[in-house]
Amino acid sequence: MTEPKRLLLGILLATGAGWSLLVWMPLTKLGPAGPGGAPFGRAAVGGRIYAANGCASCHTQVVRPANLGSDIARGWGARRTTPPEYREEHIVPLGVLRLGPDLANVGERRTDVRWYYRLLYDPRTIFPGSLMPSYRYLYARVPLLGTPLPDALPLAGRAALAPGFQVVPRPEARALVAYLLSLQRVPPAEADQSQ
Amino acid sequence: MNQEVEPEKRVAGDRPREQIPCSFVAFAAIVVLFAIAYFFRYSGGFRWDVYDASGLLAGLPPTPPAHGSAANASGGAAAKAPAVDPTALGRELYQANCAACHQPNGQGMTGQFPPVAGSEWVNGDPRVLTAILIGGLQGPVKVSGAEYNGMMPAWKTVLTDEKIAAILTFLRQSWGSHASAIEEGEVKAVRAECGGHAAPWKVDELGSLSGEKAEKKGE
Amino acid sequence: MAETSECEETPVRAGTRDAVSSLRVPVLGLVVPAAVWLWVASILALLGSLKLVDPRFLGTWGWLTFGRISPAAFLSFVYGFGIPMGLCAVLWAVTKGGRLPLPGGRWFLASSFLWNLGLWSGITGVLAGESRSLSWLGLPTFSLPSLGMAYLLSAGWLVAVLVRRWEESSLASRFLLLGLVWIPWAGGAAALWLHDPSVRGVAIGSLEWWFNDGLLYAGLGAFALGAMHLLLPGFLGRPASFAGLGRWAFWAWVLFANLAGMAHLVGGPFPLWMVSTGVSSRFLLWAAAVAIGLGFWAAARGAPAEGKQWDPGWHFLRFGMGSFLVAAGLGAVLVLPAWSRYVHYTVLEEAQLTLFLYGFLGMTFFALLYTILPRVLGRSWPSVGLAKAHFLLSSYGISFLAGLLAVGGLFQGVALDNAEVPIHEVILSLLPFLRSAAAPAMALLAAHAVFGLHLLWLLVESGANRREGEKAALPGVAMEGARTP
Ligand code: HEC
Ligand code: HEC
Repeated sequence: MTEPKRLLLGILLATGAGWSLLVWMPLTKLGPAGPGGAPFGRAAVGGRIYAANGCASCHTQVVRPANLGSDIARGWGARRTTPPEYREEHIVPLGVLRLGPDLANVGERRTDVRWYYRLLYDPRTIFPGSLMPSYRYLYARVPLLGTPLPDALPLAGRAALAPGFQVVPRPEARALVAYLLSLQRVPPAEADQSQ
Repeated sequence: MNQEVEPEKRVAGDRPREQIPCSFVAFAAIVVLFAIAYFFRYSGGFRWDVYDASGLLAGLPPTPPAHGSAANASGGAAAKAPAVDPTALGRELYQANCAACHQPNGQGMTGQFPPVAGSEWVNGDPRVLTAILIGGLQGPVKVSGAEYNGMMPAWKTVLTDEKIAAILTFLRQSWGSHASAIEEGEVKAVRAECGGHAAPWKVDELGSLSGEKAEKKGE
Repeated sequence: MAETSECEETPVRAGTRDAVSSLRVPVLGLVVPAAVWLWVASILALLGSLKLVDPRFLGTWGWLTFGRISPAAFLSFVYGFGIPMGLCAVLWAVTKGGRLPLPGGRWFLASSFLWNLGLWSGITGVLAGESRSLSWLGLPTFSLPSLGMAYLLSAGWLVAVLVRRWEESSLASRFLLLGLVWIPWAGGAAALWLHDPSVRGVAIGSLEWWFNDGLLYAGLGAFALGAMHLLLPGFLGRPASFAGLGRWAFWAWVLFANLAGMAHLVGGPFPLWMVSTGVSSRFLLWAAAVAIGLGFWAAARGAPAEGKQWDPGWHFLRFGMGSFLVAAGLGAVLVLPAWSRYVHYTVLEEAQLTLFLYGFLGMTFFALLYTILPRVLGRSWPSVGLAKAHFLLSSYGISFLAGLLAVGGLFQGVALDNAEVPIHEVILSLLPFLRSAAAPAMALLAAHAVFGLHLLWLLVESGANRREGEKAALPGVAMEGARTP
């Protein structure tokens, strides 16, 4: 075999080794239970919104074990996350950077839909001085006819609108919040466990 | 042109016949040895269900404060005495190795993984329990009144005697159980006796084990 | 894109006129758009860091939300600048530094066109919110066919030429070959898998990181190392020392670059052995990197390159190799779980990435450009001053950026590890560093602007007056493949 051929073969084999050890085997061993069962509905759409808006550039969705960080002590989850908790998901935003809290279990900590709507509209009304961007483009400004819609945001002070208008979440925001609420990777029953 | 380069290269290319510096050799040797040692030390027995290790390099030993009783985690940072309480170590190891199946609260998962909290196997004969851990368990088994038919892989390659003893002691003394502690020596004895058992145990084989042992104890 | 492409070039040396002029079109077809992407990337990166200074800055515009521009900046740097520069290095290698003619230059132009088309649609897609948040796999689906075709068009045929003109035991060709074939193999496999609905669960996470580290080490890193080995004889009159060691390092590089990615997943939902594989691989890659660096520095010590003139190529190359060693070392040391506990998910990892991307890849590719463009165009760079300014601005920019992020990351990590410190205060302790990082980001943008101007000047000059008998840009040793005959 000539040298280039040997090289090509070697590179192919090495790449294949990496691929089968780190991609193919995990898929068969830790992957979805069957062909069906992929998430669907609003939360699944919300997962895509989460990815598309790069929430993962500041938030992780991994609870590390107690000897690898303060995640558990911070109340981000009762135990470390394990593969079954992601088993059926297409979007697995484990994350790269923690500029904000971990969200693996946020749906359990925060259960109020309207709190999320307010947070995403302007995080600084909830966490003054926070770094989190506001996602106003996920909301629509619509004329106020009669009483405000049930989901209309309570805006006051500098954020207040011209009279005759209200701000309501667009479908994207609703889906995103549905997704966030569904993030309960360490199920609630387990949270009580720790005496 | 292929042939021409080969021989000439050695001479013309590396004219002064360089000697690879010792410092590099030492560095490379250390790094490579370290990498290999690390890999095998923390390979978790190459199993798909072992997620955690604790050790000087793989995350500081158990944990100083919090996790042990995660509820008062936020307040309890003062008590930093590491691993004085044997059940603290056991709890740590349990959460790391077993909780994925038997769940952090020891309740298992209906139909799939039997509970270890309040289980008669856990509170029963220490030698049988140790054997289950060392060798694994498969086939039908009745736990707390429910039938399970699954397979738990062996832990003998993953956990040392000391760790097995810690986990089992923790299991036997938590969640309302008050069975006797299990010492490292007992685990060692069981491992010596039946560590060679290749496949995971079946329930009936375990029965005979406890019988044997009872006799031996009797003598 | 390459306006100046049509005309024949005056010879640099008699006898190579055809060879060099056959390079002109393809090289410019790669370099000019790459320079534009470099701008795009630095502008996006600067916007990103300004957003961390004040999150309300351009706040309500979805296209410019932080979570979209920061991946877009990295993607446009890697795919817009990095990969074309890698192909440039291969072009230089297969023509033996402009001595052999290059068949099929037009194909190259077509490929470059497709590539840039795909990339524009891709980056626009990321900004419009079509990404799946998969780091280097984050380009949206609709851009992939065009990118894939473009790459196959040029790379398939470059591999063929490279193999036909193979130089026995040349490290440069090895690394370039690795880069050329790794990217389509792995990228293709990853892209296909990601679009298979039955691929779900944590395998997506490990796929992402397998590809991330592979792309950085086995893809672009290999290109840059190939370029380094290609350029070295030109600066020093001799190849890198310890060729045998280099070959070992090469194989280690090939294998472990494919396994290293798991190191990022320490503490993540993966079996212990996968994570340990990643950690160990990062250490072995470090050893390989030091071996390569040793070959470089030993050669540099043996034959000092500093001639009469301040040579931008050499300075960039040296800075690139320095950052390479630091980045490889950090890449190994930081992932050790004992302290990745503190530094994981902090901006310290961002600092390592900065060093690798901008410090190693970027600077090495600049060295390539500073060296080959004058020979391809038959004109020397118009101004040493601008080159110097580019070097100073970017080297200070990168060092400060990496330094600030590294120190900030330490603060962030130690605070994060202490559960008593609320997350808000953690970020507060980090903010001064993030905010001051906007200054080096600005310096980098300026550096790239200087480079763009300089390039424009060079193009205009070489296009406008093609005078006879221009002296080759770089006096001294001729620039040829990896070997001096
Ligand atoms: C620039 C980084 C950044 C980005 C991007 C970002 N966040 Fe945040 N997020 C933060 C920070 C910082 C906090 C913590 C607030 C504080 O204490 O200052 C936070 C807090 C949160 C919380 C509250 C968590 C809790 O437990 O209190 C949620 C929910 C959240 N973010 C969701 C999102 C979503 C959804 C997105 C994407 C649409 C997103 N974030 C994008 C930085 C970010
Ligand atoms: C891969 C999942 C898995 C893991 C991890 C696991 N087990 Fe099991 N375990 C099982 C299954 C399944 C059974 C039942 C086997 C059968 O049906 O025969 C079982 C049975 C048992 C039993 C006997 C039945 C009972 O519930 O009392 C004990 C004791 C036990 N496991 C302890 C442990 C301990 C301690 C660990 C951690 C070192 C552990 N297991 C980790 C799956 C697991």
